[in-house]
Amino acid sequence: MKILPLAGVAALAVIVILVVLSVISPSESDKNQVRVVFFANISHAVPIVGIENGYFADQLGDTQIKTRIVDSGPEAIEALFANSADLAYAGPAPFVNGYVKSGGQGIKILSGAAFNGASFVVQPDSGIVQPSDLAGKKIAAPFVGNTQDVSLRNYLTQNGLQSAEKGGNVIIYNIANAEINTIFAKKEIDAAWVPEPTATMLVDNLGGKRLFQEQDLWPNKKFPSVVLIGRADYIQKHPDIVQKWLVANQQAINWINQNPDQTESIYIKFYKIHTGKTLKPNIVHDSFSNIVYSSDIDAKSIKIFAERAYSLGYLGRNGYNLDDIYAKAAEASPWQN
Amino acid sequence: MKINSIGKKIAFYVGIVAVWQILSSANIWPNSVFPSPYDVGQDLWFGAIDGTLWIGIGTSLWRLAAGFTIAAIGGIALGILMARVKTVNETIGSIVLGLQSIPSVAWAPLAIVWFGLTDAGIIFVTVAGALFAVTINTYTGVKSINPDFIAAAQNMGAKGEQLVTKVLIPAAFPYLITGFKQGWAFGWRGVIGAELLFSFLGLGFLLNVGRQLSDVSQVISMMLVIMIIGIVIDGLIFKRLEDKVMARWGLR
Repeated sequence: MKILPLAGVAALAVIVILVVLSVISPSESDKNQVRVVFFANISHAVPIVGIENGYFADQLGDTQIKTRIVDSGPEAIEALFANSADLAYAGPAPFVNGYVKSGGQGIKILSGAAFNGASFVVQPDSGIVQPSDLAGKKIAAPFVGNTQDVSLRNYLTQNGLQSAEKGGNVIIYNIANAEINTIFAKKEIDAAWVPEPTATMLVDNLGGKRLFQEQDLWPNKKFPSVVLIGRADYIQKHPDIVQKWLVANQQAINWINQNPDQTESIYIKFYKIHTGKTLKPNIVHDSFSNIVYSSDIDAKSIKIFAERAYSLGYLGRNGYNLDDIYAKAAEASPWQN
Repeated sequence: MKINSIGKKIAFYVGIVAVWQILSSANIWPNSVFPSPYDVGQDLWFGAIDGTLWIGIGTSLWRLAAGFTIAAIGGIALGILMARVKTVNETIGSIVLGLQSIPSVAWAPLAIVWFGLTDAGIIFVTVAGALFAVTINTYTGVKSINPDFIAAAQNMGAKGEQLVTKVLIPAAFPYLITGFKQGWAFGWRGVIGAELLFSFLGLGFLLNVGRQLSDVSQVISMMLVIMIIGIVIDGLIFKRLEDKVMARWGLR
């Protein structure tokens, strides 16, 4: 029986390999750079304008800015966790999920960026006029755990419905916005809970019916849809970069609120470069008017997202706490309320 | 001997879990990246309680069964045709090996376009994965039947359907079993791969949910379930069937 010593050697070899791997992997976060991810959605106009108008570059000087477009919040959080991004613009639901999954250590909220800008759009001939009509229907939302997905599933549960993977009769497709557009056009889904500009595209291009805007379901008709998130160890290592980023973030927000028309044309140009598709100005205009840009952090609504995600089973079953979700840098900022 | 072998297995698995636990308690990586065996076990437990695990397993197995049945019937028919009809072998036969080399998940984009996000699309991917393994093995099996047997059967008046069901299939059966064994494994990969891409229920979907929720323990727990189902199906169905056939056909 030489199996035990052999197993010991094998286990030791595995440990040595893993430790070596973790030591030799280069430490990206030490460099003088900031890697930021955001989406090509219009609710992400803050990073888009900040980059296009050069606010971030002006503030950060010789610090290198690397941007990457992702399709969803879960993807953005994944990039933060995998240390391939330092800052991310994403929805509150993915943030809460990432925060809880990392034991409150991994990521922090730095600032708000946008409110509202998601709608529930149904096929014109689907006959859906009230929640109970959704039984047995096929509904799309972007990735599991993203803000619209949490809102949709919560909406179903509140109306006594359940998704198919939990034994209910509503089938939810979690797919990228561009694909939702495609399968909505092919009438393979009955409804979609999507962010702008996809929602307005479904309405204006495909004849979809906007049953309601998500903000209609919220108190004060306002809910946070995009927040600025930072990786905790990056914030700690580079408080100066983060502080400058926040200043530029606010500059971008102010400019957007003062120059809505120019923001729309910047967005159309940006969207064309990144997706190869040209958006009609009226779609961008309609989408844009559904969104409020502000650096406010709506702590109460973030708590509501957390409660909903928890009751959907997204945050495990061992409870959660949101005591430490704000970065110190954000607390010290003069424009926070 | 038998007890010794079981002992080794238990020691091996306990060893893996122990090393895993040590690695995760060493805190080289955060728990969100490298969860402990306890986290993974807890995740399975929660899934079992709220039913999602069972619905996921049921959905995936149903798709596998449907896809595999189609692939087995189609593969046997195609294999026999290829072995018995020269023109079929020269035409379709020339492409089967090439088709077999396409990973089943590579069929998924086509299936999404053709069938939409439906069960039929996922079953199509499963069939594409399993079909050609069954075909090739059936072909080899029929080809390796002693021609004298077939001639003798034909002399005694067997033809058409009778020749196929009473002579060719039984004589080639050990090869068919090999084809089934390979075919279901390819089909199982097809089901999971397609579910990952389709995002429409099943274990592959649950695995993807784990990824999207940054829940690595759910990812690992679903991988374990997929593997365990593989071991169980292979051990309970195909290994037993193979042993029986091998014994009965006097091949061991």
